[in-house]
Amino acid sequence: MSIETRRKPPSPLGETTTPVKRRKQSWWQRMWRDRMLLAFALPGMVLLLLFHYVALLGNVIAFKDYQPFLGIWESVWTGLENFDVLFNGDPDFLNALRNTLVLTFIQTVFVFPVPIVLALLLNSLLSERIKKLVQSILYLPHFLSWVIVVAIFQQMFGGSGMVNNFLRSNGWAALDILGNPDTFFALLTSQVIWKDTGWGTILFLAALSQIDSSLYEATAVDGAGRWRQLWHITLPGLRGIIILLLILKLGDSLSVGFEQIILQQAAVGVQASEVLDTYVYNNGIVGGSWGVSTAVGLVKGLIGVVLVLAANKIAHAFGENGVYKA
Amino acid sequence: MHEFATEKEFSRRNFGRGSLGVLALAALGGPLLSACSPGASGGGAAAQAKGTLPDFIRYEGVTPDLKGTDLGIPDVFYRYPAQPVKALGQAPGDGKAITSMVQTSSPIPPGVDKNAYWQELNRRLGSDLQISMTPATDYPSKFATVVAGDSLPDIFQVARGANSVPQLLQAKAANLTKHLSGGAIKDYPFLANIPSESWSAAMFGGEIFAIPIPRGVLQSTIQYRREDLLAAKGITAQPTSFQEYLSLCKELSNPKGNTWALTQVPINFIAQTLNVPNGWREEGGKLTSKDETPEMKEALEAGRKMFADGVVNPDAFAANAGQFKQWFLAGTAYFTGDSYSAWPAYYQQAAGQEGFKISALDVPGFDGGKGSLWIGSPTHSVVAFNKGAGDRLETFLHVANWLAAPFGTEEYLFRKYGVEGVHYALSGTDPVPLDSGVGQTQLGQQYLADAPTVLYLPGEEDVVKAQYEQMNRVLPDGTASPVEGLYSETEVRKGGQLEKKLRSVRDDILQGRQAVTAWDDAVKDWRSGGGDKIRAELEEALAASKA
Repeated sequence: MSIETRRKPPSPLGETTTPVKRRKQSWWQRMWRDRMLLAFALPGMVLLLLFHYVALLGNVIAFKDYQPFLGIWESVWTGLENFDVLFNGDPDFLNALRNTLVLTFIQTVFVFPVPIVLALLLNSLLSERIKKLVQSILYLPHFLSWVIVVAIFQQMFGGSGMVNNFLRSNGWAALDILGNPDTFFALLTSQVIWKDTGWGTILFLAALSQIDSSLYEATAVDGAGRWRQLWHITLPGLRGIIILLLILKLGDSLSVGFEQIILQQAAVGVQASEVLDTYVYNNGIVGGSWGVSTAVGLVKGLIGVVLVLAANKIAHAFGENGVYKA
Repeated sequence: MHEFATEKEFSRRNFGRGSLGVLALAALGGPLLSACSPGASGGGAAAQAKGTLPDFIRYEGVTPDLKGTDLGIPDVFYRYPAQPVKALGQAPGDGKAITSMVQTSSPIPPGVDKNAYWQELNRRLGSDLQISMTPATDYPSKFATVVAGDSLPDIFQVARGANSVPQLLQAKAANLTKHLSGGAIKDYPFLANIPSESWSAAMFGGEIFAIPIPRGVLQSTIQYRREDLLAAKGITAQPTSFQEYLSLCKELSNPKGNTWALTQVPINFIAQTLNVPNGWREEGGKLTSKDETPEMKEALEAGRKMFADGVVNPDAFAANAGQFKQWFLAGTAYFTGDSYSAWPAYYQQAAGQEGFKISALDVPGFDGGKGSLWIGSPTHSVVAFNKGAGDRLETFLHVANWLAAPFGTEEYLFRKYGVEGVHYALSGTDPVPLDSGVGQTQLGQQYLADAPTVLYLPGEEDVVKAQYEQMNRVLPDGTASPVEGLYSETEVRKGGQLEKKLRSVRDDILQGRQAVTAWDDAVKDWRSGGGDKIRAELEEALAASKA
């Protein structure tokens, strides 16, 4: 973050006319030189430290029999006892793990590409006005909290909601949409798609606008159709951002939607709906097993880190930048 | 009355939203109570026996219109006394701010600078009372977090369902024994007016660490019905068996009109018609959990049938207690389960509905005869004072005493209704809340200390009379929990989780996703997962309390 590179000799005052040889500055001198930039970064750094790094220390209760009234220091060390649920396969934990992995798979394979497709569709709209309008409408659901979204779904599709009310008053059988454990994942997935797809297109649209339009013109001259253009220009142009987002997505892929699920858990039962996040909440905060829950959370975090690092490695292997450079 | 209007019984066990409110409410009558209001620390009830309860000195300043009974039925008043007595001469505060933390079931009121009621409260107390309010459902998490952060305020309501309460209070709360035990409590006459049965919930290891919020029998859950709507259909008789109730429900349900007889499967009501025990059944010192009884399976089968017959709102399992109330008030349900506290509250919420009238079902036997109501805990929760209170402890106790001034006093009138002309208008001698003042008075102060509950609804003599009569019909046959006030460490630590698993199987059965036979396995898991240990601990505590 150096401004050095932007300083172009000769300086505005014209004191020197020949480029000075770069003198090695001390750490403090560099700090002083960049003080303004550092000041800008400081609040963010403090927040990051306080709420992301200092908070990490709390993970120590994964190795303790934590009792809130005793506090972290006074609670008894228990070694790896809390990790028993992981290694000895507590059925509830395994159930939560299985549900989480299925949802992770669905969200990565089916939900992730949807914004890309939508962005391509939006990009092909010719009228700027219609495009803006469609975008605004699609962005809206992102700003609704899950409580509202779930309430809307209940009013629309609930047992006594609008759709079923209509069906019944016309003599048809009502559909069990929200309370059916077998279709719960489909419900969750469609809610996620409805809520966040529009928002997810933003980065892709930005990337699309970066693609040099002369490429399209050139291929058009060479006789390439829409599909060939898509395959040879558009998608390669998006590849970097797709891979970047995919890696980031993998990092929190085990967080499959806490609020959304806990709000709808009662209707379908724990068996169909418990995921790692709700397991941690139900056991830790509600059930008082703070240590076990922290252990589960810790392992979940570790898996996330491993996934990010591995995905990044793979990206490098394919010649992409990934999240950071090797 | 506000204390009624704001009451919503939540426990850790019905923490999950959307589960059956009735069950959740009734769970309070069950073994959880030992978790909410443990009677003694690790040593069991024996240790409790060593201590001396505060003397009970009844407040005799007012004469009720109908007298309460030893069963815990509260006094009934038709009108507020004409000249409320100012019961305490001087303000209890010491001029310095007092911090506190409570749960609330009301919308968060305006802050003190915009709240005439709060300002007047502070003036009358002689101290600025700072109250941190948290919605009841989130309070256990909030409480656990505050304890973990070691930032408990001067006065705090102990969350119902908090873990390891005895150890927690011994570590963090002021010991009140010296101030309240035996005759010492006479310095605080309104705390002395709290019945002894509630005080046992505030004793730990023979010492007093908290003051209880008494509720008499009001935490029992009953089955309400819309008497006005039923009368319009020519139905006035009470069902005398399950079959009659089911037929009635079928007759009333009209899915095409988006109307169902029931807000939720009344599984606990059915269990009560089958005389399923209230949490535990005690025979010769041996305990049997309600879930282990064969009658419980009959109840599940009956409940399953009700849901399959389409007499329950199809969203019952997805909705929460607030929605049940809405359906009931809107008349899209004819019956709903709720606590006794809700009786007057429904009238207040239905203000403006012409001819609105509710009553409650008695508890018939499943095949005729009599069932037995599960009597709820006499204690809502307990309130403790910070261990670091030092010399201010007596001030805090005097504030609590002031907050517990009973019905009939000027303090009570102000505490519940505010200031005349601002928060209420007088109709005769009755305070009628004004719209302009609504919302200002609900600070959760009833969870810092409160007087024994009375049945009183301004200008609604018939309503309280009907409630009193129903109580007198039903409660004599009711069952109290045999483990009320007894403490089991395993119950406190694992009871909530175990109960949640059972509840999840129960909901599956009721919705027809699992066969009733699945219950046996669920109960087996419950036993091996900690149920047997809870039983053993409770049996030990029970034996000790009898010795």
